[in-house]
Amino acid sequence: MGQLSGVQSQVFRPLPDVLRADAIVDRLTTAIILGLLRHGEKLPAENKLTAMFGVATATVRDALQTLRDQGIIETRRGRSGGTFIVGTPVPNADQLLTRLVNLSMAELRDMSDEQASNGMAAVRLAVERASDHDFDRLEAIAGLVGAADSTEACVWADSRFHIELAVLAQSERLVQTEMRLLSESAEILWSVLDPTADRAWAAADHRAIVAALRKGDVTAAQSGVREHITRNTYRIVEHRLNSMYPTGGAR
Amino acid sequence: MITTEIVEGLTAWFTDVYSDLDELARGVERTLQGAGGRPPLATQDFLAVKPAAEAFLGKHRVCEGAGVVIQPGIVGVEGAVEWWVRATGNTTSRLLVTLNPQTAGFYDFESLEWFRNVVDTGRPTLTGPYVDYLGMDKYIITVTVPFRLDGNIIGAAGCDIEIRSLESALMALLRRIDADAALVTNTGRILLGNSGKFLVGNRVGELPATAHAIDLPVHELGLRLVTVPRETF
Repeated sequence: MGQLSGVQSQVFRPLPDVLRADAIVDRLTTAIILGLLRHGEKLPAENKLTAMFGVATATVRDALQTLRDQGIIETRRGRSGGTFIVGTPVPNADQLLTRLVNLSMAELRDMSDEQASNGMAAVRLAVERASDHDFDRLEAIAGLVGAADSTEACVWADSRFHIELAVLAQSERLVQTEMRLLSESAEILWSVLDPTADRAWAAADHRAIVAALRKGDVTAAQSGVREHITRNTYRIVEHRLNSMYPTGGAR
Repeated sequence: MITTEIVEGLTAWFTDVYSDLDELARGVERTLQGAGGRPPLATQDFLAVKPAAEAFLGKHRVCEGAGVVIQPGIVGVEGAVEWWVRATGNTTSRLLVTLNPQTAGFYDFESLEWFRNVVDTGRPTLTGPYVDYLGMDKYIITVTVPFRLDGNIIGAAGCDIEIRSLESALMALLRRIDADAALVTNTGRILLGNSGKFLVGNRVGELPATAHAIDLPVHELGLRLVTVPRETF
């Protein structure tokens, strides 16, 4: 192919080097991190996974083998056999800090912008689409993070709320976007926040959003989402800068 | 609150980029003059740009690409984009753009701020931060100086700096300020902040009475260092 213009070269830019098996590994890993699949849960049978993911059997096998090698799943034979989730792909604090340090200020701001945009779109649609019953359930989920007793539990509870907002919007795309954003950010956020000290305001923020939704107050719900995300981002940025550029007693 | 040392450090950093861009421009201008160049020029009159851009990129690791852009009419009817972008290793590759206005991907550089401002004002400029979706698909600033032939401005010499790299280059200096501090452009947009308060790309907005602003004396770019007493939330 000869000369491409700037815009055209964007169309043909290299695809992300994620093979289908890797995509399945990522999907399952994300679901476990966000608490959508829990320890001890049984995965659907191989032929079902093949149909659900729409890939070849060999691809599913490759993905499961990778997860098995990582100690995340285990396959048992026999009558009560099957493939079970036995491990959590929890990165240690050092790995999370490395991930955080490698994100630039611009990338963190951009990620925060996308989270705020997605969340604000979700609440706007939720006001139009959700029922009182939906809000009851959301309210129960909103408080979960306040009772979470570990970093991992905070990641699950917090993620659950943000995914549920997109669920109430009745939008698969918003749900998918939210899950991708959470898989990038939720663990970093809760490695920066202190579960004991910070879970209370996280829960209060969530509840305030639910209260605004119940009243049908889109503006209040949206500013609730925005402030919540802004505060999270502030804490993440400060943590990153303080660990990269410690400045003695001044800070 | 802000030491002169920090202001001088920031000023020196930007001044160095501009003076080396000037040198790049003057060098290419001299080869044109030497060849008795008169418009209309041809693309091959600009062979000196590549080595000059590579020398510039070699010194300024923070820059992603550099080169010279010439107005339509001076080089053919479409002008010329002689811009070299950092590739793998120590190599560069030429930025490919379409200069035919009839095509969908038309790279209308004449309308872009970093070109327009230099040609209109004859002064060095700093444009951005902006998402360069037509060129490099990155979040960058573009720094440009006038390019002349026989004293007339015929284009711009410049370089692109990724915001990410700018952060690596200047954050340590900004972090020495014991306050929330931001480097702000002439349009009031934040280039770099030293805390969670000042995020790149945001407009700095109305400042409280407790704020200080110091102009950086770099080619009247309007760069300012803004500080406010540190506050957390």
